[in-house]
Amino acid sequence: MLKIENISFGYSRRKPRVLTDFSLSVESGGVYGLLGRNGAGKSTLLYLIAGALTPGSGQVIFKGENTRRRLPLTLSDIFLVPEEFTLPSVTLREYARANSRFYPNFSFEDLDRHIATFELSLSDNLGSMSMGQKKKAYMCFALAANTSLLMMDEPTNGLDIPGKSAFRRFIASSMNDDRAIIISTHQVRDIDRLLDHVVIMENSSVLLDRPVSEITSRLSFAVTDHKDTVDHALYSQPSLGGYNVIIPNPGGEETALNLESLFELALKNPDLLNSQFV
Amino acid sequence: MKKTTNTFDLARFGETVRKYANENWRALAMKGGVMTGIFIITTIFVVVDTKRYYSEAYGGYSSLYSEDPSSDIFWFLLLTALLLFGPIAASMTFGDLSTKEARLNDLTAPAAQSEKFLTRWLFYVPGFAVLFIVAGVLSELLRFGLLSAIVDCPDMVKLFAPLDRIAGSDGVSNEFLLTVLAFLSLQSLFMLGSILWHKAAFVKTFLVLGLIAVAYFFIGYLTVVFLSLSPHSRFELSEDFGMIVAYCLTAVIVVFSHAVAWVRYKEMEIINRW
Repeated sequence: MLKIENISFGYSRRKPRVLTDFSLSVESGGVYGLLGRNGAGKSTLLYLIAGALTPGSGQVIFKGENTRRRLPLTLSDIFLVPEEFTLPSVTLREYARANSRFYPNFSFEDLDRHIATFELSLSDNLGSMSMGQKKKAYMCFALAANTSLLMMDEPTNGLDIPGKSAFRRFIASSMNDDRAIIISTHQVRDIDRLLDHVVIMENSSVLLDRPVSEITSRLSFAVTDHKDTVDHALYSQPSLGGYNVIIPNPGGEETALNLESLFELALKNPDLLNSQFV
Repeated sequence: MKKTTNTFDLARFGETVRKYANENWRALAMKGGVMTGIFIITTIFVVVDTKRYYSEAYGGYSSLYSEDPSSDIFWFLLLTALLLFGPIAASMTFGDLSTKEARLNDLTAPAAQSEKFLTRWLFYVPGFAVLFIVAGVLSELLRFGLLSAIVDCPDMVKLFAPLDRIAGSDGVSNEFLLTVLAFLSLQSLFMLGSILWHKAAFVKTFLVLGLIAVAYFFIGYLTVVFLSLSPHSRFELSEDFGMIVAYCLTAVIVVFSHAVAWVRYKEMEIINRW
């Protein structure tokens, strides 16, 4: 569905490039988690996919079209919820009426369902909402647009606890085989149970690009205070109850993914991590 | 909306215009209201300043153009307003794209770039012209109504008398045509300025054009000096030839400004590289 082919990008000639020869493929039917440190280029990558930035080299191809051409039919099948955005001072109903026409698969039934989940109302004025409420409203619209590719940059920032729980519910309920969702975030605990695929970026390269099912069948994530296990673990970190460890999983029995530990291991020793998938 | 194309689509263009109006009507109404308000206040001042002329005791009044004494000053103010408010309005065409968030909204909106460009152009270029005409007519009606009510000789007040300056027995007056050509040129240049500089576009464009004008006259002066031309030398140009030059120059400026503005808009990103 989406192919990012050898893109390089820098914000200016005086600053180091954010992305260098970066490649990634995204298939439909999955929720992709895009993780990386501050400044790794996650938001930049999302802007490049949306066509809002021009790569210095390489291209982003979505369903056969280069997204930089900003063709209306391509844009109507991609939706980006950025970390910071502005909404006009109109009611959510007026906003939906004016903007839904640009998304051929937009569903007002879905919109009604999503805003009920977030306890919003169509007659609420977007201009007088708090940032968290605006984010909820924008995400409701984004999901109701039913685009093939939905991208969200730090979607749980600014959401309250019920909001985060609602967010997880409606991401889970919105997935289908024709759609891909890319979530870029630092708040890994908000999304770890939603993900089908993990992409970890660092220094403009991909440290890890694997389905969660493969990760959890090759690696075990556990909490232990068994010294021998800790000493021989691929990764260990003190925590309540002992140590969070990642160890090889020769039996293939799936364990719950610990995204934080996986992320730390990817940053500290990417070669060791990737060697587990050979 | 049914499935459309990647090229310009009239239905989608209509939706883009409707969306822009829906999201910006307050700002547009305020800007229009401010301009109309200035027109009304200026008209009241003109009425107060010229009402003494509408009196037999004043000893009569003669004007080359009209028997209505205040029509001359009113016409002059209208033309000045056209040359002032037109560029101000045009410099707001892309002014709301001054933030990264606004540019992201605009770039990711699923419409053709040409539709989005034309939407803004529609509101701030011909849209301004329509608003100007409406504000001008309202001001003229106010002038006529106020003067008719307060002066000693209301018969001297002629409705739409300023329009006598537009056309005479020889057709449309060159004064009016030159003003319109100057307006079109300035408007297109300030529209270009608004896409080059999202912030303080009017001031920056004004400064740049001012510098260009100074450079032009300075070069002209040097040309006179170095060619040892007499300051009294002049090239004899007929008025018709002069008008043709004015038409051609306006066409070049308008086409060039719109073309460069379009290219700049098309290449726009969420960051400003230049």
